[in-house]
Amino acid sequence: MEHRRNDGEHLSDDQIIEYAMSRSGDERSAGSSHATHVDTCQQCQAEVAEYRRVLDAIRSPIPLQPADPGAGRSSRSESAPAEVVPLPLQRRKTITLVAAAAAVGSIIGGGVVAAVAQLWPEQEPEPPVAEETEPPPTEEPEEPVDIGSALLEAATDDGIEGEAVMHQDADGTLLLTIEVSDVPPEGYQEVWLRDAEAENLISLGTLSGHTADLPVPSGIDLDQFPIVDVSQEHFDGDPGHSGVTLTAGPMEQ
Amino acid sequence: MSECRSLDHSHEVTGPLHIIRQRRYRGATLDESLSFAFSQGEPDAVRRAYETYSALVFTVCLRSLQHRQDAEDACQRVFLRAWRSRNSYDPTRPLGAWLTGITRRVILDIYDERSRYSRVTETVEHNAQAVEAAPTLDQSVVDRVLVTDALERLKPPQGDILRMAFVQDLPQAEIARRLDMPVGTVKSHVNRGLRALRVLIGVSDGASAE
Repeated sequence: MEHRRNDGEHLSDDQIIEYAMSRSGDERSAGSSHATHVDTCQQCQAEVAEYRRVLDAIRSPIPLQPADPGAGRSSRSESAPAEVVPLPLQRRKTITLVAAAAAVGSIIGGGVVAAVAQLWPEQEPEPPVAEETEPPPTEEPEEPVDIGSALLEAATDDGIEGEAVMHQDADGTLLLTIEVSDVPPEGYQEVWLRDAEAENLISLGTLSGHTADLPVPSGIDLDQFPIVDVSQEHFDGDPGHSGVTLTAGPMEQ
Repeated sequence: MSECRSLDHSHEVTGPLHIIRQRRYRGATLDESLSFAFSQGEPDAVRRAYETYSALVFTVCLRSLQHRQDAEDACQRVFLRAWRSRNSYDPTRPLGAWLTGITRRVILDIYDERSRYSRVTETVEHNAQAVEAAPTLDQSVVDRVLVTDALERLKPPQGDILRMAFVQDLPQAEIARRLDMPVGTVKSHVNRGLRALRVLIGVSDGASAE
């Protein structure tokens, strides 16, 4: 009876969870003293209800659908014809902007950015130049110089390895040359710069065959994206990293 | 299961693929840099937010509006409205959950517009009926999509353990056996995961009431 409590004493969070998880039939197993308290305590009832809401949601998942299944392809024109819904004027303005922006951007994400820029142009600050850690062009300005290289280790049973070299032109333009030992026949392969945790990624483009020369966005802080990563992608229109890394390795500058 | 057992943190760089994926999702949940950049109005942040959370927002819209084109429009409205209200966003709150609160408000607006439209065109009978079919927002849709999304983003192996416990209905002792970890560890993963999900739902509720 160590769990016995006064009616005035609230259940701990763990006890609330245990109580919420118990089915109505075996609530007694969660401790009848708990049940007695919860019966009379609105605060504990509310907390139990919140956890039951979480549990209900876990038990009936809704799989996520990508917002833009046709990204990068022409299937956008196949989407359901726009329904003309009369809208209040100020809303119509927003929708028109969004629609126009979406038409401009091949990726809806770009459309949102464009629409945002149109709606609040004055609030768009200058591109961040705060941490310009890019190494300045070195002594031989005429020739591209290698500013980093990465050995890519296999990350799947396919054993695909590779090498990547970062070049910098006289004008500061960055180019990544990458070569891999093999490519799976299915889908396609995409090259990324990312951080060690794979929390932040920049897509550089796709591999065609075993090699590629890929332009790297200028202004990038290579210290923030030190890993070169080659992913196995599917023609699913999902612009994100598939989660399947074929080969990857840190860039040494 | 082997998938879970290999969720160790010893592969710092190249790491097995699903670890990279899980980490990415976890990072997306707790991506303070994105949340902060968004609240500060950094130009790139809305695009990153869209990339990270558009599926979450779109799925709620599609389920609630039952119309793909409307859902796409609604999804963009959500990101526009979120960007416009970014000053009211507290970056210590999970961004995805906050966006679902705005999503609810946008969907309610669209319901409202639809019903006003149907009043104007009440003579068109099938329209009026179609509108009446979806008069209220099903709160559980938001919860379920938000939680489904969050299970992918929770720090591993919490998401897997929660699915085993409540989707597959496995006893905690069986989960412990399968994952080769003490029952107490399973239990604390379950409790921590449930707490995190409860916070998300609370943030979503709060944002929809703002």
